[in-house]
Amino acid sequence: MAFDDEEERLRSVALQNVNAILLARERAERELAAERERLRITLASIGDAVISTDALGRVQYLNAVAEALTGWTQAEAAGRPLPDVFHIVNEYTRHPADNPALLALRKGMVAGLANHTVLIARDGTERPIDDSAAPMLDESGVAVGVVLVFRDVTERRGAEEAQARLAAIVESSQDAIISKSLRGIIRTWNAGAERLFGYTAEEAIGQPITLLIPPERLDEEEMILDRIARGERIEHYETVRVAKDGRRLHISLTVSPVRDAEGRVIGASKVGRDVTGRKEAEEALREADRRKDEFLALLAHELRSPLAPLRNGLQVMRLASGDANLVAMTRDMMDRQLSHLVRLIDDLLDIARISSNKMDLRRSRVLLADVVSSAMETARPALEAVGHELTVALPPEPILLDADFTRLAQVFGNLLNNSAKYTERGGHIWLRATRDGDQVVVRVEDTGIGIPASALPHVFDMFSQGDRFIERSTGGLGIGLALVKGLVEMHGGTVEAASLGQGKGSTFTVRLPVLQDRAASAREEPAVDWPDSAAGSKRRILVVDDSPDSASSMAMMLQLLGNETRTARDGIEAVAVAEQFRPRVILMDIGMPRLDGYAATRRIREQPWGRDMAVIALTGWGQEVDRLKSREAGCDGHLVKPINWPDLEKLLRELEGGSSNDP
Amino acid sequence: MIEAVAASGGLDPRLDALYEEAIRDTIERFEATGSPVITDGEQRKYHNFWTYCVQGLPNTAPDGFKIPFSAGHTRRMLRLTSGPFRYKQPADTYLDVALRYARKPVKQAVISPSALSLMYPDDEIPGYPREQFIEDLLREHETEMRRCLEKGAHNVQIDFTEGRLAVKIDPSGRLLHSFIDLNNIALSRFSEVDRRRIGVHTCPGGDLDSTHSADVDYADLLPALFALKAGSFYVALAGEKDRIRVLKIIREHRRRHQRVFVGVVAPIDPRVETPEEVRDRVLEAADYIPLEQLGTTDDCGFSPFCDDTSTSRDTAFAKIRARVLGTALAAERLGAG
Repeated sequence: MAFDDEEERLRSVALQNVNAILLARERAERELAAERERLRITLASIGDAVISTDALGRVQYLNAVAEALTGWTQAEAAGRPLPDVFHIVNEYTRHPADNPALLALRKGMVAGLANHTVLIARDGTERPIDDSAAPMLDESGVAVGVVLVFRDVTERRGAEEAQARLAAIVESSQDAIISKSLRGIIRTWNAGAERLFGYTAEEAIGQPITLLIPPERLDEEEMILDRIARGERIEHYETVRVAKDGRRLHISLTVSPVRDAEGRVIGASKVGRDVTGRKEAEEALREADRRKDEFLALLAHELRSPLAPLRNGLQVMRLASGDANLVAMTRDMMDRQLSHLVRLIDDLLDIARISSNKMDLRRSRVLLADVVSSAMETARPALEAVGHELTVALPPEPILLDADFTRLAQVFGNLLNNSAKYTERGGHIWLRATRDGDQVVVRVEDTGIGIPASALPHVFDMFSQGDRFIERSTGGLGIGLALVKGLVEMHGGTVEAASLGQGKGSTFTVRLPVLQDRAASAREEPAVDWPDSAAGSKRRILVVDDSPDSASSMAMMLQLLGNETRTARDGIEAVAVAEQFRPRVILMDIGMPRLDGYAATRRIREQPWGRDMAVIALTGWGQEVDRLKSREAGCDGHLVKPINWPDLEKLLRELEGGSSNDP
Repeated sequence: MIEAVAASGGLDPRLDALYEEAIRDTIERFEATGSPVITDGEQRKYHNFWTYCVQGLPNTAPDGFKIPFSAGHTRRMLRLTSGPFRYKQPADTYLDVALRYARKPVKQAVISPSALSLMYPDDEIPGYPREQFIEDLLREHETEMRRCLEKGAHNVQIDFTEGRLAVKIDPSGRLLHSFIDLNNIALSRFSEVDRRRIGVHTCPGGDLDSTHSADVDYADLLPALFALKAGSFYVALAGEKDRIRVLKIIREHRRRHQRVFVGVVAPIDPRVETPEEVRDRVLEAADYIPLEQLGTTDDCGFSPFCDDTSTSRDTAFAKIRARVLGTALAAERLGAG
């Protein structure tokens, strides 16, 4: 056998392959090099910074991003210890942070940065970063280096902070802020939503939004989702939603589409504001407006009611002037109707003054007994007309009050009138006063129709339903009790209404502070009676009024009382007539054409003949400011239309008794 | 079985049942030895461990080069007659069967690319350049290896018996380094994790109780061998005349991460080693190789060529049992459990 030949053949065959294997190896190496180049390009191209080190933690490679973030170039950094190039500290403590690359190298496993790590670049620039480091292991699993990948998270941190701020705003908002999917499933739920609707986030998230929608409004959700899907925004949509406890809430909704990064609508955000309070206020306003309208209608009716008998009375007097009894009866009837009309207007003006804090009390030391007596006088006609029995019980000792006698008498007069009105004919009314410490308690109780429990809270409201319920039964404006309350409170007291119900009578309880000093007593002088004849002294009186009827009727009355009169229709004519007529007294209207009463008074006062004349303003304006203005113009007195004859007489007597310019 | 193979040729489908039974029996007896890792005894590698994957290819001729053995006989390899080069029977097909029977981890042996590179003839094949053949060879080998790994082989062992032969036929080392390069190109295609499951076997050959390159000094082979990018090395040592010298060479050239399985029984020696003998060989090796990187193996396959009946199955399993017992004794002595 050719052993050597076989071996030679084998050698020949084998060595023939060497070149081919060499070529294969070179090709493999080229591919490896190309792969490494691709890796290098990849590392250079990726957005993250990459640093690799050797087994001792010395920098071997930095990509461009790492160069930018550290401020070190590859050439400068190569061979340096990693902490020189990758200098990191804790954002808050400023202490050096654990270097994840060195940790990875030491432990042979992937390591990440702690939170709040800041990279300090070569030029001192600081950037918050995120990173991770992975060891490069050799074939035996030993770390021969480390790859550190990190990124600047400044923007992300900013976005996170902005998101956190936004979340905090959403969470702290008083409004309910809810997001939902296009299928109407609740996705987020803030504290405002929890407060408003009562459901916790855990209870609400994942539930359909119809959880909050009343059954009769379920169609709304379909409409809302429809519009949202079309990218529309729904603003201030007012509707009703249901809270967890079943309460119906008036809600103002603003619903906006939520879009994804591509702009597609993926859901909706809803901001819901509870407008229940506003709605109720609006409702209350509407109710007040409605009551005002009712009141105005009532006022028109009540003002017109006395006019018919007055007109009838005039006709009767004209036709039956020869029948002295009939004329007297008619005159009494007309007087009652006129008094009623005056009282209506006085009440209106008083309530307006109280409402606008323009009522002044003329306080003095008054005895409760006098006040009650005056009130009884006022109420007597009404009580007697329907045959009520009035029982009055006062403490044996005098009760002294710091009060406006007239106004306080008005309070009890109103209460007695009120009881008289709402008690069936032949009823019983009690007025009882008792001392309770430093207060006096005055109760006006009746056996009348009572007050329904539902009306009790509103009985002192102006034009209230409760009040109307009562007033409508007998007529009136329904402001009497409001006036009582306002006046009592102005006196530092309280008033309460109580009733066991309809048909069971009513009790009004007034509490007033009592003055301790019993020594002195005072009271207003009782009103002067109507003059029934020309008993008064004869005077020359000029009546100035732009209303001829008012002027002539007034002049007629004054003449009937024995005076000599003249009339004038405006200020200019008044000055002229005054100069000729030289009256003792001028009753001066204020609002007049050409020259008003103030100016006319000034002109008269400027004349030597006019200085001693008594000029009394006679006007529809009765507020304090009006009195002041008339006084400044030179008027000696101020009376409010329609004139109260006793008041006029009293004033004239005062003027005649003192200085003409100082009434 | 041997007679049937001899009578009909190893690739006759009618032999499948016999092969199956041989594999089942081998695995059963192998597992009975207590060996922690077993093989299928390479029962289906017809005709041999070298050409199993190309046996029966139509583009081969039986007149390839001859491997001369010290006993005076030769083994003739196949010659590639035309391209393209493809495996006919990759080893993972054997693994499929073995895994059906095995209850212990299975090691699968494959032939190295360098061994098969010798199929390309001295003269260029028209239309199929040598470079293309090398590429095809690498791809086929990689595919076979990858399939074995993926199918669950505990280890894949590359038979690199021609390494020592290369030194013999080209003492300059050029051929050896070329083989190392070729095998490393293939190994480079695997991950580090995969390579930890890949080992390389070297021996002086073993056929009919003789070798083809026992006279080649390991000192000329091992330094280059450990340059292979494999995780384990199965080094025939029991048959070496001066084991201490070889161990010293191993100690000097072994890489840190490489495990070395030293041969503690010699298939070409008809005598069955005693466990004590084995134990002493292990203790001897432990003086040079750290315990955590030391393992034991058989020097070589017991019948690399299918017609080799020089070692009976009983002897083979007795030797394996001796290896297992001896290794256990040594481990006990070394406190390695």
